[in-house]
Amino acid sequence: MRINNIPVRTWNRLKVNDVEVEVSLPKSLLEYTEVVPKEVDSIVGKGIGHLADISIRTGLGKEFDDLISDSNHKVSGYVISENTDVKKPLYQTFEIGDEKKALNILDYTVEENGNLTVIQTIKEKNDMPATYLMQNKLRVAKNATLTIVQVQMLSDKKTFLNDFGAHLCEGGSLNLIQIVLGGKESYYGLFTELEGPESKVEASVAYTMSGSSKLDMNYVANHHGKNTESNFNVSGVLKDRAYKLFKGTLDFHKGCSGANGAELENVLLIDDTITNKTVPLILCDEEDVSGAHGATIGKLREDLLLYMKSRGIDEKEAYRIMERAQIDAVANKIDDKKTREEITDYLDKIL
Amino acid sequence: MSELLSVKGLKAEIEEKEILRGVDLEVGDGEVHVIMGPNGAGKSTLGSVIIGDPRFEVTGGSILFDGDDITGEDTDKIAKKGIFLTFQNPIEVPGITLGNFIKTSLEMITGERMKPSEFKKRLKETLEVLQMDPEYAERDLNVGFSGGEKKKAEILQLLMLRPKLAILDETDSGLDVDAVHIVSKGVEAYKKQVGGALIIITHSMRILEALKVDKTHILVDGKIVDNGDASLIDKINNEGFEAYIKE
Amino acid sequence: MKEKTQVNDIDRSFYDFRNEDADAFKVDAGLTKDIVLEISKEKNDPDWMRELRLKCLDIYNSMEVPDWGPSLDALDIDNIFTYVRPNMRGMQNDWENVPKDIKETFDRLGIPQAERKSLAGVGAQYDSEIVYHSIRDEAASKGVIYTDIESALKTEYADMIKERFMKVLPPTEHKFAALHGAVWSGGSFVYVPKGVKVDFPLQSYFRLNAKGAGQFEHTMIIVEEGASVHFIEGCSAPKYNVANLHVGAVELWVGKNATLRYSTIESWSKNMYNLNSKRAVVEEGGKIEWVSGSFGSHISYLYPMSVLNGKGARAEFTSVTFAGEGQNLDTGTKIVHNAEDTFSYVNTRSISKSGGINTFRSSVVIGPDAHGSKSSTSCESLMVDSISRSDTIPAMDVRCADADVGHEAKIGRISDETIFYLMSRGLSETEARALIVRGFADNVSKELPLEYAVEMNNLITIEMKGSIG
Repeated sequence: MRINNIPVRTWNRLKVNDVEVEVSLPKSLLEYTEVVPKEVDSIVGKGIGHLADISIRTGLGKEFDDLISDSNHKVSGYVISENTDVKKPLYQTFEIGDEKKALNILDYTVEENGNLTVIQTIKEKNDMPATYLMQNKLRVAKNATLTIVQVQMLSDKKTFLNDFGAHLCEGGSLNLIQIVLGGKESYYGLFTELEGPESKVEASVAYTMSGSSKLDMNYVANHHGKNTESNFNVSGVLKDRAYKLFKGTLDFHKGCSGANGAELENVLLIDDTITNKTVPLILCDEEDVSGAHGATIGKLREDLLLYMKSRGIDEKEAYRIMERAQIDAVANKIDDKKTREEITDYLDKIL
Repeated sequence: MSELLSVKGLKAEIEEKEILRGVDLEVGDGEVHVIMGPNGAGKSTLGSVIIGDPRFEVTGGSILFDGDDITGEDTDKIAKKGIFLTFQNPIEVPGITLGNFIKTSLEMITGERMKPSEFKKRLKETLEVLQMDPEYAERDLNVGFSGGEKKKAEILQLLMLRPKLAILDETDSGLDVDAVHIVSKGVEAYKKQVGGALIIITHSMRILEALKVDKTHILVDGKIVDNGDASLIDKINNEGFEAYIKE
Repeated sequence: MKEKTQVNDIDRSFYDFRNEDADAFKVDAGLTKDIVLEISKEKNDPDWMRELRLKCLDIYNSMEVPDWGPSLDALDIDNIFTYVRPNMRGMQNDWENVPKDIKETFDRLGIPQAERKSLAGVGAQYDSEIVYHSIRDEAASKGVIYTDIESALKTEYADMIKERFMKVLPPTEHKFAALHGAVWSGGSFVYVPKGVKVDFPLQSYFRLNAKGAGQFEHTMIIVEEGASVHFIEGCSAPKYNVANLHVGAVELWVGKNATLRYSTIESWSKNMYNLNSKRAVVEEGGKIEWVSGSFGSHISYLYPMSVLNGKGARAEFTSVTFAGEGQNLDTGTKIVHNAEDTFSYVNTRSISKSGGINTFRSSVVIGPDAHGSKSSTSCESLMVDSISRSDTIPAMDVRCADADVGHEAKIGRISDETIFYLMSRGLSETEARALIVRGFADNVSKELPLEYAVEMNNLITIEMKGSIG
């Protein structure tokens, strides 16, 4: 199927419009472990998206979403009721074992004035080839806040399709922090419907890609509500024959006056064998908005390198430091010491 | 006579524009030198060229440090030999803390791993000297630091890295009185603890009050036009550079 | 309260006048092998050219229309007259010999008054044929050639043309490049010998007069080592209620340490499909400078491309695009860095108004050998009202670590505060808005020779007056 389609196509020759992947569903869902704070209601059932009476589009696109929706697999739903501030994070660990195909379908609903942080860790028991599919649908009600932290620590034998869809009501806020530390092929999608006025999405992604691993991202902020806000911050490091494609779209629809969107990309390139593609779209059907995009792609900035060298740090070490810094700058936003330490330990192992 | 730093006939240019037109400068162990001069004379360029900033091309002359020719050497190698330059605008680096940066730097310069406990102890002591909140070491390098905080972070690095020669480039400019006081305390501590040499590039005098200045040099239009002792500073303060500027 | 009223059409009377084309020779509408052969015969093609046309026709028939960009559904090639020869035989070097109605057309447009003032040479195309070409003696005496391709094919440059024709821009590039190859007619051939610097610009003016016609001119410019030249093209047409089509092709060679500036002021009528292709190949130390102001046409697909093949080659692309009512202008640029230390700079502005749609589309490719290359893009879009649209679709593809690629895009509107400030100093709202938009477009106007900058500013003023009462 073709996934990660950009909302408006461009030259086919660039090979950025979408990507062809072979996907089939496993017979059963992957079992995962979790620590659920007492305020969280778990509902297992089929469909919000699923659980609420709204359809939520996702970043990987319709074909993938249809595949998931048409399956008879159960959805793991989590609901935070009104005015509930869940202090402790909901921890979830997804660990792929001997299965060749794995799947999880998750839903999170935070009702009015609620607040929840979810920390998802994705890892593996062995480095056998496998494909892992994951879909998260998020609904953030009026003035509610949802933070999703997702740390991916897969080996270069795993294919990972990671699909997010979010619907934000008035004043709702979604904060997505993703750390990508491996995987053979990773397809990341996020579609955010900024439906309610003053709703807000912030996605911060950090990655380090080496070997011949591939990362394809398609992030969309669909601005409908007035004074809505979106921020995509993507930074990472590319080594060896790694391939990265970031597609980020700020789509300002008629009526979203006062909306504000920004995309910022920062890519540190190490080897001449990498491929780095960036497609930052700004679609604008409304006069009173402001959209901006900025990208810095290349080697270490010369003034930064000089500063490091003047403190006795050679070029090789400077790159090593910056490779970690690219990840740490995002990881430091995670308000959970245990998770930050887990990232540090994993980085010590792979770098 | 063997000097710590010996600059001979140094010429340097940037984008084909000559900035230094034959600078001679000798700095002995532990000496304190002040370089003064009008704006655009090439004072900062001299610091940049000594530390090996690749934007500048050395077109003549040489720089000897501790007996080795370091002209055109890589900046990190020059730093390892024991020269430290403060930056007027230190770079902001998200994702690496000031503390970790100093530790890495120290380990690169000494070539030895340092026990975390030992490092922490020294860092804490040094932060105290500069009256800096220990929390600074946990903040990302220079990110969101005010002008004064950045300068203090530079002096912190100076004290931690203990170079044989420190070049302070306008470290007191744009600081409020308290900050200048702390910076000059830091410089004093450097003299006391390390006993290293100093080249202070400045056009303001406040930082010099607590220091015994050995020599003063006047740099005008890419050349040293006068040398003297500390009394030259007062003379400049009173009379300015007019006497040195050709009509 | 601020009031905006819509005026249905914009005053473009400066360009919008037409001549009867009863006397002209036309091929049948549509595109068949017979039509292509008829054009070939009409133009006395050498054999290789006739074969190329037929090959291009096959390629055209085998290719799909783009599945991206503005819809081309309303463009039916079966209704387009691909060749319309004005009622005269042969290109003229003397203005007096140009037929009266054509002469009057160009007089009204200010050609060739401009020639006498500040140009080194002038060419004028009317429908499918070049009707006039001239070059100043100073330039000619240095060996500069400026003529139509058909004439050049009969000279010592014939082999050079044969070697290079549709090589920079192969017919397989896209469906409309193939269409161009099949039915091309007219255009210019410019040759600037080694070391020759042409002090005054050369100008070509393209006028499409016939209803339902297509214009397919081919421009080749060869600037040899160390030489430099500035080429300016202007285009316009009267408005009809059927589709007209412009599928020109521009192939440029910029030699070692040579400089070519290629400026375009395009004000096609708003029934025009402008599917133009332009491409430059730049050798070591050479520089291509594109300066482009796009105001006209119903639908545009226009992305001048720079291929930087030699070490230290440079490309600069500066453009402004103004889309008003009924216009869907998809414009931008493509840059390919193939060699070390190459440099590109893209600076574009677009203005959307009265329901006009602007799309900025670009691609910057840094190949694996382009060590030390730099590319910087800045694109800004201005939305003048809430019924217009502006999209930005850039793509960057970097295959080399030792590169430095920067990109900035901004979208916004004219702030009410700014309008208020200017009105408080006595400007009407219309004047205030026009002033701001002219200022917004100054990246291009300050790169143009004075008289063209004035023309461009007039165009902006005309467009801005359209919708605010």
